[in-house]
Amino acid sequence: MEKSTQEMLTTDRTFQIARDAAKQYSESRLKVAFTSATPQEKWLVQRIDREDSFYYIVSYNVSARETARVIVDAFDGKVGEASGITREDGELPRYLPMSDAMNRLFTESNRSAKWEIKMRSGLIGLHPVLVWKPCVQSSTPFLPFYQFSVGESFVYLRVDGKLSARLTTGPA
Amino acid sequence: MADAFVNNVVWVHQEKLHFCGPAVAQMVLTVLGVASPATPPSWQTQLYDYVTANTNAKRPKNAPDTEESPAFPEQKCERCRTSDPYTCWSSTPNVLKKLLNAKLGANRYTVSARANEESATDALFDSIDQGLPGIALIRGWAHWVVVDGYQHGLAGSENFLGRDVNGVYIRDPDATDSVHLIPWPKWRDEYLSVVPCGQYEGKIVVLKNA
Repeated sequence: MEKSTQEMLTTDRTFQIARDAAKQYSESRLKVAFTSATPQEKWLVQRIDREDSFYYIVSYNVSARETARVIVDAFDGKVGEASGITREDGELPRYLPMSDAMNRLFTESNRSAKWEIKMRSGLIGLHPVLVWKPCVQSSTPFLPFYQFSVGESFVYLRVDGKLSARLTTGPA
Repeated sequence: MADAFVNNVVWVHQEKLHFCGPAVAQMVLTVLGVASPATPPSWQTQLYDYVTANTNAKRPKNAPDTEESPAFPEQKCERCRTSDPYTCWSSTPNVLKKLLNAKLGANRYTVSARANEESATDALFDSIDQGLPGIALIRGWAHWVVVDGYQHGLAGSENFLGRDVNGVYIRDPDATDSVHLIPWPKWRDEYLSVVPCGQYEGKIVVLKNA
């Protein structure tokens, strides 16, 4: 099937794939993160360095603790990277919810003395899904960005709250 | 599942955008028994100070000074074509090796520049088999991560250089406190790629046991 006409996975299908993956990881070094963990939430991410490429980050909880995440291709359901806690009582920091992203954008830009892009409330666009590409500002697909349009520019707020005026590449 | 890994690697977060080298050094030094300094500044800052004092290059006058890669006199900068702007390292492979060996008091790490993904990964796994975490320069020359384990011998594995490999465990100083398992095909195709320019052009660079 042409990818452009292909539907993205449903939540049910994505979570089924995630449950199957968790069974495998429960017998690995990641067992602390995946044993008894259930898929809780999924986040759609667009690869902005590729054409029509999307993935889901599925998060897992044990009780109220978020303990693991996996990456699932949004079209073919192939499971990619897995990430998990290593200590029994560990917990992954939660992603900033989309509903809080705009407020956080203003908070972070006000905190940064070097921030030079003028932003006015009500005149900023928020991309409907998270975005990611490998860059200095985020080395891992588990930390994508909210992408805001400000005039003809974009600014990026990582899901852990770090703000960047651009995404760059270069030597380590 | 069958896992091989170095026990007790403790993840640390890189304190600044350009501190991935010092952060991976901190993780490796800690697991190998080096104590953190008792007095400020932070250990990563002290490790970065070593880097800036021991890179042994000469920064070109027209190289950029950015938040991602702040200028220092011995900074090594490269450009792929003479018409390109310079792009500068924060922590070169060589200074990272020197840093580890200096703090460990022995030549335990070496820079290994490999021609392909299989060979580079085998070098990292050799290091892990010797009880030393490996360090990989990923996505060309973009980022340093600690490679502290691998998954092997399971269904769906791929055989190369005498190993049946399923995946690679990394500690990424830019991520959260966690271990990441990267499936082998993704590691080969997306994480490992050759350095685009300069001394290591066309090679995949890892730090492994000497």
